[in-house]
Amino acid sequence: MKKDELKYKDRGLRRALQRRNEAAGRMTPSADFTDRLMQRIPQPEKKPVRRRLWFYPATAVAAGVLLLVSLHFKYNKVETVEPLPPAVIALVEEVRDTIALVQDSCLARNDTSVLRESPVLAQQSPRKPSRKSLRKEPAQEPEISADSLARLTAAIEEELNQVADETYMRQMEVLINSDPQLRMIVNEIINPEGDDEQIAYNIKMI
Amino acid sequence: MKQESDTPPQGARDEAQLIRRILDGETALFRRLADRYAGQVLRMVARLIPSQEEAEEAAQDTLLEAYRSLGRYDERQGSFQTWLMSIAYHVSLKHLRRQQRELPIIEPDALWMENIPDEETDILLDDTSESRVALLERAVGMLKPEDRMLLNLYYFDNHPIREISAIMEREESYLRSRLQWIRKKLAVIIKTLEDNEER
Repeated sequence: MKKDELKYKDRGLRRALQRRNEAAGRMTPSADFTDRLMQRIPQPEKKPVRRRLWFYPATAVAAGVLLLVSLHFKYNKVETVEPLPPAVIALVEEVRDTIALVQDSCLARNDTSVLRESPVLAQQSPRKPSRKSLRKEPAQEPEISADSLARLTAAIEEELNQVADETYMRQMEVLINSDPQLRMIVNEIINPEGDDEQIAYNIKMI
Repeated sequence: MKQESDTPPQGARDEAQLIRRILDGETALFRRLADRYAGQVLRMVARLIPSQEEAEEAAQDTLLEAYRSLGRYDERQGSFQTWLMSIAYHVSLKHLRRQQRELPIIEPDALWMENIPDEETDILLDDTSESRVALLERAVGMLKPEDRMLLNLYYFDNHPIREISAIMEREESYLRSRLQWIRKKLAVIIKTLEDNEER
């Protein structure tokens, strides 16, 4: 140890420091010093035996709670799906019947378009509406009278007929325009002696 | 948790092992380190904080800080004692600042300091007469806490500059020049006090 690294004796200064530090040098920690210190130090909990005692019941309780929560959410999910009101369901069921009628009255080629629509309708109107949905709004059922139902059915039927007709005509037009031979056949049927302009006009009118 | 009654590590050589065990979770073993160093820490802190109660509080804070920072202690950098003294020094300064004590610090004029010849400083600080020692004692009390600690570590504890550098976290060159500056400062204060007493 280099005691006099700076080569100063400074004996007076050393003595002065010794005097100043006399009181500090006599100080000793109080009896409970370390106890108080250890109380301030957080003790880690490492008690494996005790842990085993509560570990399994706690795990079982946690699993139960998780199960209940998951069931609760699942149940709520079903509840939140708003079922179609019974009136609407009844109407859609009617529409299905009318589509069948439309199919009968239309040409055979119309089948494709109607068939394409039918699965969509099937999705919108479940055949067996859940009991919950029926139970949820039981008051709406008796409000629909037979007359109003018939009027509504007729209106929808008419609208569907129009849509079916328009769709059929559009498909026919596309079909005729896409096939020159078919176009010629149709032209001959519609206007056997007519000119092209008349034919074009006729097709447009179709 | 392992029982404390296991073969206890003894001596400074086993200190690193003891620290490792504490870091591994045997926190109760920190009591041994605390018992070993509480006195030293308290006495060092008391040089800056004379009140026993406050000094104990600062010593507790020092050891608690040491416990929290134990993972950062690197035995290759220096002894545990030096590391702990460094914490004690900084905690003491923090305590003093928190209490915002009005210390009677004298900042002598720089020009005046330069006018005092080195020989005169040497004579003033080497004088062991009762009156000069009493004046020096007063003069030391008028220094900044950092300067007082430097004087204590160098003159009273006889720590080498290298160790003081680790404790105070200062460059060795800075500490050397600072010691010279403090000596001159003390000389100026003594002369000022002597002049005041003559008047």
